[in-house]
Amino acid sequence: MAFLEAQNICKSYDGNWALKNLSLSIPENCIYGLLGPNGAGKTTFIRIINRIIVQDSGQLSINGQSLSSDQLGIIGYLPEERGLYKKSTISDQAIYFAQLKGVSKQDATKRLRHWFDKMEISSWWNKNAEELSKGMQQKVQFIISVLHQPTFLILDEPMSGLDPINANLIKDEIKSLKKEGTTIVLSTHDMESVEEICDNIALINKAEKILDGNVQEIRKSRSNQIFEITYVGNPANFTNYLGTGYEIVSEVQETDRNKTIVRALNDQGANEILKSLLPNVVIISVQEIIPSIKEIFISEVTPKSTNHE
Amino acid sequence: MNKIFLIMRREYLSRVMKKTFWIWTFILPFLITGSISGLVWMLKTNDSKIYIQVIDETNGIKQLENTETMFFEYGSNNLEEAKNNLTHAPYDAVLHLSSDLVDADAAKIYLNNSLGVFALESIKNQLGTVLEEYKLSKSKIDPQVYYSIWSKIKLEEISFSDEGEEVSKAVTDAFLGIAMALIMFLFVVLYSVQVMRGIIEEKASRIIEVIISSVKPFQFMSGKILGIALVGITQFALWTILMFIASAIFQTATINPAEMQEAQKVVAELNLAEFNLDFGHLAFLGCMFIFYFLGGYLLYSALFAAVGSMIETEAESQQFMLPVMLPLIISYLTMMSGFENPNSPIIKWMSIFPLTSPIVMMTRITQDVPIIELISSICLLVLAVLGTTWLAAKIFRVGILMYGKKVTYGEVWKWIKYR
Repeated sequence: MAFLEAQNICKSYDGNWALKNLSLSIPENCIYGLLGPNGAGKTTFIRIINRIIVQDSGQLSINGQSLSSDQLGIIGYLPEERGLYKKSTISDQAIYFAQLKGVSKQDATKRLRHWFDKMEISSWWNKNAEELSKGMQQKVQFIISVLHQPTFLILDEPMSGLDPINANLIKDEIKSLKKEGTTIVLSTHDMESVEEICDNIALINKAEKILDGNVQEIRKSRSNQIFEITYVGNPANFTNYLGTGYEIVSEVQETDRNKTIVRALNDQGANEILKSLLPNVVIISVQEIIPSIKEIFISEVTPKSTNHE
Repeated sequence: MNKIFLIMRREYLSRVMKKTFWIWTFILPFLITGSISGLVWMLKTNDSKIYIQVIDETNGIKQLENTETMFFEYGSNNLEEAKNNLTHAPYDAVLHLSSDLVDADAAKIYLNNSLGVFALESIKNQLGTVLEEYKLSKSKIDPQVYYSIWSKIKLEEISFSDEGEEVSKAVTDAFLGIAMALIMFLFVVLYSVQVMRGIIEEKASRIIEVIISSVKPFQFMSGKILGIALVGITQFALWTILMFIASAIFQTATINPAEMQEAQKVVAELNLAEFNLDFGHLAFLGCMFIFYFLGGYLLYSALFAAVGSMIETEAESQQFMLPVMLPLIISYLTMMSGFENPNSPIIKWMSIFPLTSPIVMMTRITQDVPIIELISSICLLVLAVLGTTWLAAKIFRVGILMYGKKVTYGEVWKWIKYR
C-alpha cells in the first residue's frame, strides 16, 4: 500500500490552475523526487501536504487515513523559502520548532546535541543565526526539519546553494534517514542527485503530472536501443561486420581504440550485436546508453513545436 | 492550545529578554518626568533681566512698576527714534502706549529680542491692572467696591444615580477618564504596531513557512498577539511603578515646600478631596477599562497582523496602515470633547462603534453612560473582535506566503474569498 496517496488534487488561483487533477502515490520508505520547471506546481502540492493551503478538490491520505492537521507532527518540512530568527541562538530556535511539532524540551535538546555532534557544528550552539553564512544556516534548517524524527520528510531544494562537500553531507543524511525508515519527498532541480538518490519520481509541468514511476524503469523505458561499442581495429572493418539491422549514430577515433554509437533498428539487444562482431573485431566494451533524467526532463518539458531535434 | 502557549511564550521572552526592552522601560519614565521637571526648573530659574523702554503718550496713566526681572524706563516720547535705535539700544523692547490706549484697550510692543510668553503675559496683566484702576478712578468707583461686585461663578454639577441619590460629578472623574483613554490609545498604537513589525520580520526572514507547517496560521497569529499583549502589560506595569519613583525623585529635587503647598491648594480646588472613593464605582471602572483595553488591543492587533502579512517591508505599510490608524487618530482627537460633552450625538455613536469605542467610551465611562448604550457598545466590540480576527486570519494565511508581489486592495479581497 502506498504511504501517501493523492487523488485528483486541484487548486486554482483566480482561474489559473496551480494543480490540475494531480494523482500520485508515494510508496513507503522511498525517496520520491518531485521534478518540474519553476512554477509547475510542486510547491503548491507540498504546501497542500503540509496543510499550509487547502486544495479546492481531491483526496489526500497518509497510510490510508485522510490527511488532517493532526498528522503534521509526523511530517518534517524544509521549505524552499526558509529562514531563521536572526537575533536568537540557533539552538534555542531549533528546540522551539521541535516543541511546536510536539517534542518535549528535554528530548529536543538531547537530539539537537546529537545532530550538532554528527554534523560537527557543536561550536555553533550559542551562535545567533545572523552570525552564520547562508550555507551554514541551511545545515541548521535541515536539522530543524528532522529534529522531531518525522516519518515523512519533505525537502524543497535542500542542496541548493551548498558547496559540493556539504551537498554530499546532506545527501548522505537523506540516504541514511531512508535506511531508518523515513519516507522522503525531494523537490529539486539537481538532476544528478535525483538519479543518485531517488527511487521514484514524478514530473509535473504546467500544473499537471506528465510522468511518474521508478527512476530506473522510466530511464529504461526511454532507452532507444542505443549502444556504445568500444573496439580496437579498422572502422571500415567494424561497419562491415555490424550487419544490416543497425545504424551508426556517431564515431570517435582515439589513439588506441575507437568508439562507435549504434542504434538498433529492430528490437535487438546487445547480445545480437556481439554475435556478429565478436568473431571479427576486438571488442573492449559494450554499453547500452540510457537517457539521463535530465534528458528526459528536457524532452518532456520543452514544448513539442519548438523541439526540432 | 499548547502551541498557542509556546508561541506566546517565545514572543514574550524574545522581547522581554532584549536589552532594548529594559533600556526603554527604565529610561522612558525618567525621561518624561525628568524633562517635565527640567522644563519647570528652567522656567523658574530664568532670571535674565528684561529692559523695556516705554513711550507713554497717554495722559496720566500710572507708570508700570519694575519687577525682579523686568525694568520699565520712561522718559523719551519719540517713538520713531526709539524704534530706529532699538537694534543697538540696550533695550529688549519698546512698549508704545498711544493716546487712545484707554479707548482701544490695545498697545504695541516692538521687540529687539524675543521676550517669551511669560514676560509678555506679565506685561499684559500689569498694564490691564493699571488701566482698570485708571478707569475706576475716572468713573469715581472705589476699587474695593468694584472687586466685591466682580463675580466668578463656580458651578457644581449634580446628577442622579439609578437609585435616585444625588451624585456630585467630580472633575477628577473626568480626568480619570481622559487618563484611561490616553493609556488605551498608547497601548493600542505601540503594541499593535509591534505585532505588525514582528510579522513583517518573520516574513522577510522567510521563517514563516516553517512555522505554519507546524501550527495553524490562526494559532500563530493568536499566540503572537497574546504574547505581545503580555509584553505591553509588563512594560506598562513597570512604567507605572517607575513613573511614581521618578516623579518622587524629581519632585524633591526641584520643588520647594512652599510651592508644594501652593500645588496642594490647586489640587484641593479641583475637588480631589471630594473624589468619590466608592469602591463599587472604582471596581466598575476597572472592569470596563480592562474590557475595552483587551477589546481594543485585540481588534487592532488583528488588523495590524493582517497588514503585516500583506507586505514585505515596513516602507510598504503606509497605504494599508492609514485606514487602520484613522479611527484611532479620530478617537484620540475627540477625546477632549468626549470629556466636555459626554452626551453629544457624535461622541455617543463613537463610543458604540467598535473601532472607536475603546478610546471614546473611556472618556465617558466615568460619567453616567445609559446602560443600553454601554451594553450595545460591549456587544458590538465583542462581535467586532471575533469578526476582525476571522477576517484577519483569512488575509493572514494567504498574505504570509506572498512574496515579491505588490498587493492591492482588490487582491486582498480575493484572498478573503479563497477557501
